[in-house]
Amino acid sequence: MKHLSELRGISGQEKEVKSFINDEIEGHCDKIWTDHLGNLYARTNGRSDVDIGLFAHMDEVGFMVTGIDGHLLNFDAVGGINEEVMPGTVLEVGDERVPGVIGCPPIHLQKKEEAEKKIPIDDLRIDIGDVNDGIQIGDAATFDTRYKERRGLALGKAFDDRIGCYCLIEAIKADLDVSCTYVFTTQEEVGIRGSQVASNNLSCEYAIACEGTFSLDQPGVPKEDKVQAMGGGPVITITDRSVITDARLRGTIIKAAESCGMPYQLKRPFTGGTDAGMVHLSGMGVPSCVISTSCKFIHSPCAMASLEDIKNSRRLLIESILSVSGGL
Amino acid sequence: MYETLRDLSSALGVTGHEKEARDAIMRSGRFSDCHVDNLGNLLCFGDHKDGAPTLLLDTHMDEVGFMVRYIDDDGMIYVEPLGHLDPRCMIGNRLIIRGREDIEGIVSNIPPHLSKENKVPKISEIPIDTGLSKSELEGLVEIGSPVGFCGPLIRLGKNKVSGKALDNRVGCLVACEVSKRVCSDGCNIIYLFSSQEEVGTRGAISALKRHLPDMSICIDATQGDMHFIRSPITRELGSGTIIGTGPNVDRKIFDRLVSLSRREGIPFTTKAYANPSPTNLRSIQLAGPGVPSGLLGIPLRYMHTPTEIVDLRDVEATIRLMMSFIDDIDDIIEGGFSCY
Amino acid sequence: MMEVLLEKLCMSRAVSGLEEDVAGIVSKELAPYVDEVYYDNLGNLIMKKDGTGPGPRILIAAHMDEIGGMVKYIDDEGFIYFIEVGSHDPAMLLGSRVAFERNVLGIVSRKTKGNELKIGDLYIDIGAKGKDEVEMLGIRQGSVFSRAPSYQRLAGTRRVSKSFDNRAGVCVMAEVLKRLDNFNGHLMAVATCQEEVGTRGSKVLSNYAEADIAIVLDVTFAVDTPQRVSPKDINTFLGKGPAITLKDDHFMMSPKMRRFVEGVAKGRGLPLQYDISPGGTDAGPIYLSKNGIPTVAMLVPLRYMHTGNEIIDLDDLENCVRLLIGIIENAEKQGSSGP
Repeated sequence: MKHLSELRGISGQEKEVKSFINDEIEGHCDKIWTDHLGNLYARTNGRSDVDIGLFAHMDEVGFMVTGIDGHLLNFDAVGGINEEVMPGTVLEVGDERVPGVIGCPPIHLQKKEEAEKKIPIDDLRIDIGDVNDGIQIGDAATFDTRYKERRGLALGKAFDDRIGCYCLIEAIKADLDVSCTYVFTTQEEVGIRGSQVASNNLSCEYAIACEGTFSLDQPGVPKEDKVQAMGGGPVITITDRSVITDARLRGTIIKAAESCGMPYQLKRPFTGGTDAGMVHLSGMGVPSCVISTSCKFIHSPCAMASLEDIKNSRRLLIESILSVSGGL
Repeated sequence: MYETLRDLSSALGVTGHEKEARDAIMRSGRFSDCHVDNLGNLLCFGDHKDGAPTLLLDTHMDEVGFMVRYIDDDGMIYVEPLGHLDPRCMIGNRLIIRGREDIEGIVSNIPPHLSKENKVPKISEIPIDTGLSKSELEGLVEIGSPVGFCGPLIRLGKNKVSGKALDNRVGCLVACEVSKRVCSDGCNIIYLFSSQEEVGTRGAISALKRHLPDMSICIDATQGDMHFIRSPITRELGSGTIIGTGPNVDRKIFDRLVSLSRREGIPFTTKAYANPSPTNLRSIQLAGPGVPSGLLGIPLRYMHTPTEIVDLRDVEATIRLMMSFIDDIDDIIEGGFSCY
Repeated sequence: MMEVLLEKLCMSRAVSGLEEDVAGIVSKELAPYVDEVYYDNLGNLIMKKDGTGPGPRILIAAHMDEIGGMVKYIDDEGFIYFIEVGSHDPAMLLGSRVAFERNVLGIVSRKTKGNELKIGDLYIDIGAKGKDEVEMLGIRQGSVFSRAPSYQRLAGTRRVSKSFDNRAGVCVMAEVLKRLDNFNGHLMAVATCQEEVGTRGSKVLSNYAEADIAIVLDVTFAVDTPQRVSPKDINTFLGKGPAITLKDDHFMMSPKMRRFVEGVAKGRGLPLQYDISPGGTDAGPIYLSKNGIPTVAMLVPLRYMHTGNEIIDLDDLENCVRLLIGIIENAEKQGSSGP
């Protein structure tokens, strides 16, 4: 988890994540391959009645350099990042990991009205201190956040969706005797793009996506919206913005959670979208469901998750694969 | 080149009604085969070489415009926009209404003596005056008739031209010129002049379901520097071709386009698209098993108005870059592709 | 005849994703009239019927799902908080009746005061004394509800129901399949699912459907009411016949198809209206499938869309049936259509 969290891979530049995962799973699969969009596929052949597709995305939200003016870099967000978390953030820029910060004007020099508003991204710059010829337009800038574990909690960046990648890797390493294609997708954060191509390239009977999702157990959220809390167990989706999950597949997953005696929660309907949103619309339609881990503060420099939840998501994924493998 | 562009620009090819643009393109390029599909895409082919890889060159041919939505009792015509349009660039201008015959209409406006409000009306509320009564319009114009900007292409200064629909007839011009100059036998080229880009890359989505190339290059007009806006998303006119990068673009094709430009001394700038690019590329890349793609832009000022401006030197730079890309296509195919 | 089926369709529930009830009615009703009936994996109901001779492949699609809602939270007192499935006007939902499974009725009220109203301000009261009672009735997080089923006669040929969008279209499709006896070609009639949450059924359909011509049946806004601010707004009227879409946010009709449909309508003396409106129908994904399918979106004018009181005129339904039959019988002459 530590390695996965600290790897750098904004949408479209997932190379580092991909080669790490490739090394991890080699020897546990019958075939590993890739496509033009950079999706990584791992195939395991086994004795099972059906073929299952498992999806997690490798990319994370971050920034891209769009203009260079001396030591100041214009940038754009890759994926959804709230402007209010940007000022005062430490970043690593480009392949050389040049350190940079997003500057924030001192409070003393701002008018009261100005200080109360978010600063629009067009007015922000990454400051790298000195002119650096190594940096080019199109380079990635990622949060410079080290991964930490303490008191049962994990802190780090890119939990959406390296937690999903972690679960998939662990499932592959469990060497289940099931026919599966594990797909580590790209460009999810910029419009669920990798899985669109992946689902053109695959045919599976069922699909499960594994996600790091947000938690709503925070002050300022009304009680009826507080469902899906960090520490409450794996989150199973009924519907989000992109998919209404298949009732039978969802039922099988819920039963698997219950028979393990682990806590689980249902996702607050109609928020977020995942790879399942594309996969379930491919071919003749693919029954799909989503297993997520609830994290606080995703899409920000540092997210927080419960180690117990991560462990349970991993276990639930494996148990679900085993239950589904006999057919529904 | 100016003559060809004038022909291309003058053709009325409002989204969904691209026939005239198709005809102008077929006059302007040299193709061995042309085909129109159900969505109105024009697919043109160069000479076929067995076993050679296929390169798709995409330029959309539709232009922003309008469609008649209502004719009131006084014969005033109200329109529905096709594509992203600013009502401020309509008022006072002439429009062509293509009914049974072409009719010119003037977008109504109030003389300065009488106008008071500083408020921009919605497009759906702006009347277009043809001087004809409702009964005279009967049988001539109907609901759904396409409406477009008019006006010939004009020269501005030494290298610049101004006119309507330069987004993206300049791209079409590049493709047509390439078709005339190409003599490489390294690849099969499909020229896709796509329809309905301005309403959501629809032509490209459909065309790529039928024709899957080994790689593609998309050429489209891109925001130029203006006195209104000069930012990382705009480029100066005359600064050469714009090579795009970002999640939509294959890294290897991008690197190749940059190194070719350097080698040939072709002026260029690079531009990063952090999110899906506002061109056909975002759909082409996702077709079938994924299509490795590159993006070339031509700087253009005042996009989606009747007075767009481009610099012909940027067009020439883009043609030259395309030509050297095609000439050296064997190199790039070796070793495969990656969009990451 | 047609009205019996229409009422039956309207009195059943099919919130997006749970279309089994309506699909069941349609497949049972039409089994004697078609050659083959099956479902795809998303839940589209597909019916095939071959004509008497060779001819074009014709695709007809009508979505069978309706808007509704889903439970997100039940508080200790037994009040139910929900999210919308498909888009609602919160003001129209306020005070209306909704129905859960097993016909558990509830009414929608608001927890806030003031003019601003969002879906999140609303809750459902089923009269339960507490959370336990709600759960005993089978309602839990994820349970789905629709507007309470209704079908009533209004003046003349006008009718009101909660879900003419799009049972009207489904009913037209069914009637056409029943009446057609002599045509050439191959018909594929699809009752699509999940249209209200983003035309998902037709997206899957467009992956595999192959056709020379497609007709999408749906409803459109008739704003021939005091709501009409200006005549230049929307110009489809109740009772003036089927409306064909020239343009919406996801679809444009090709001029050639337009002439073809106009020709059929004129030849059979049928009224025709034109629709240019926001939003989209199943026509969007379908016309972009495979090689591009020349598509007609034929819409039944409807007042008060996405409220519990949608009004249509039965005459429009009849004219849609006749026009669609005309299109099918003439499709051969149209041949493979260009733009």
